[in-house]
Amino acid sequence: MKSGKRTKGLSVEAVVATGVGIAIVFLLKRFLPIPTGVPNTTIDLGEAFIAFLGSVFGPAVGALVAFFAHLFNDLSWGDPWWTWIVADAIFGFFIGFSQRFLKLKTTPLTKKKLFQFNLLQVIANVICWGIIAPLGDILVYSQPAGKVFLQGITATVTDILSVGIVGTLLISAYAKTQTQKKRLTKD
Amino acid sequence: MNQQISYDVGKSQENRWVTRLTGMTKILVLLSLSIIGMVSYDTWYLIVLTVFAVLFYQSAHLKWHQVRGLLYAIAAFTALNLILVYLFNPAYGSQVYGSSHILIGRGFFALTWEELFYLLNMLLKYVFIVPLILAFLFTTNPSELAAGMSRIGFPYKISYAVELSLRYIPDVIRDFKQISLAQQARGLEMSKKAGLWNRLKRSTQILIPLVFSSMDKIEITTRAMKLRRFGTKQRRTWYMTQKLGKIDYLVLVSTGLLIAVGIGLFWVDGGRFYNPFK
Repeated sequence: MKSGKRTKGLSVEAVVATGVGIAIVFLLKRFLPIPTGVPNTTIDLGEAFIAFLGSVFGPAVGALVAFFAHLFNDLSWGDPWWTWIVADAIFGFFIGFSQRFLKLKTTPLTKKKLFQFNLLQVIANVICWGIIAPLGDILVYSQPAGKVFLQGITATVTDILSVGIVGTLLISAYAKTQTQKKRLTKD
Repeated sequence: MNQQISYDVGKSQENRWVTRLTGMTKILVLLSLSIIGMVSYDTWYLIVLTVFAVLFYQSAHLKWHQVRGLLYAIAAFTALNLILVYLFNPAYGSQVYGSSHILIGRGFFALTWEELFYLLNMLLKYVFIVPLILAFLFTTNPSELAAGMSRIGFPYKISYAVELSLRYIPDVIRDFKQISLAQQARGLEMSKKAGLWNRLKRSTQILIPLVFSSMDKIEITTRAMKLRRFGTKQRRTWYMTQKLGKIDYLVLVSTGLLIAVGIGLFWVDGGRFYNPFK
């Protein structure tokens, strides 16, 4: 998180990005799920946008956006499911570390970086949806393992697809619009 | 998508005690009840929580058409989850309660009283907080929420971000509709006939303009807030901060008592589960 000397904690930009980000991710989760054909499973474009925001603004913004957007979405359906909300926040946090190597605002995007980003998102998705969320359901909600792992694995696959396809597209589209600083080197 | 975009509290909700509760009280009640309800498996306790939540719902005087869609969705979602829980491990209830009284059937899918009781608990866990949340959804002004969050002790920057997001949701929905209409005018297939791949491509074509417009929004708002020196001080006051009234104290104290009872029950039951089969 790049913060000015005067501001402690989140920078102003991070605060605004979190606010706007929550609104958009909530919209995508609530109104634009794409059914995959398997019952009760949708491709969640919100996760792709969380990954994009994380890659531009870093782990703190990623985690906060994921947490509150998931919470609001659950509340709008009348039922907060805390283990998955927390798992989503952890995913946002992990994916935010892609900011460190992508450096979208200052350096050009290469195939290698996109590969690294996708490697990170696959690992983060597997850890969060394949392990943390189901384990949370078993420990906290005492649900049978088979059911929660089925849900967890489905979520893992659909989120990997969502972030891998849509998230990657968003990042490449955004990178093209950034003026690269390398043209302005000091002699 | 045809959701009501304004946040105004409805006419029939004015002057109800649930509308008069401050944002801080609502957040505290919602958080603490949903967390204790998540952990506890004591059936009687969950029933008491449900009754407590229904009190709020009663006070909000919601019309059936306001909540109908949501309730159907919740019912479908809950039913699907319960069926999955049963299909994957019909003997799970017996594992939990340590005994097995077969009610009907045999073999893997034998339905035991324990399993039924476990499913009843699960059902309660899914639905106990729904009435409370519905009541709050229709009676809360979002600005109160941010003020309440910062009063509870959230860092004010996070509270502010949440307030911003609630302010932006209507904007974002409007942007989204405009972009989607513009793309349709350019011949984008919007019907449900399109396959999965086309749907993904289509939504990306809507997402990319949305990303750029939101990045602009972030930049403009950041500049405006920097000009007003946001974030230079350690603390911040809120226009919407409200004084706690008698009703707030009443609700907070009763919630506190409920939580204390819930925690006490862990000792009484000797764990999280209430076991009638012993």
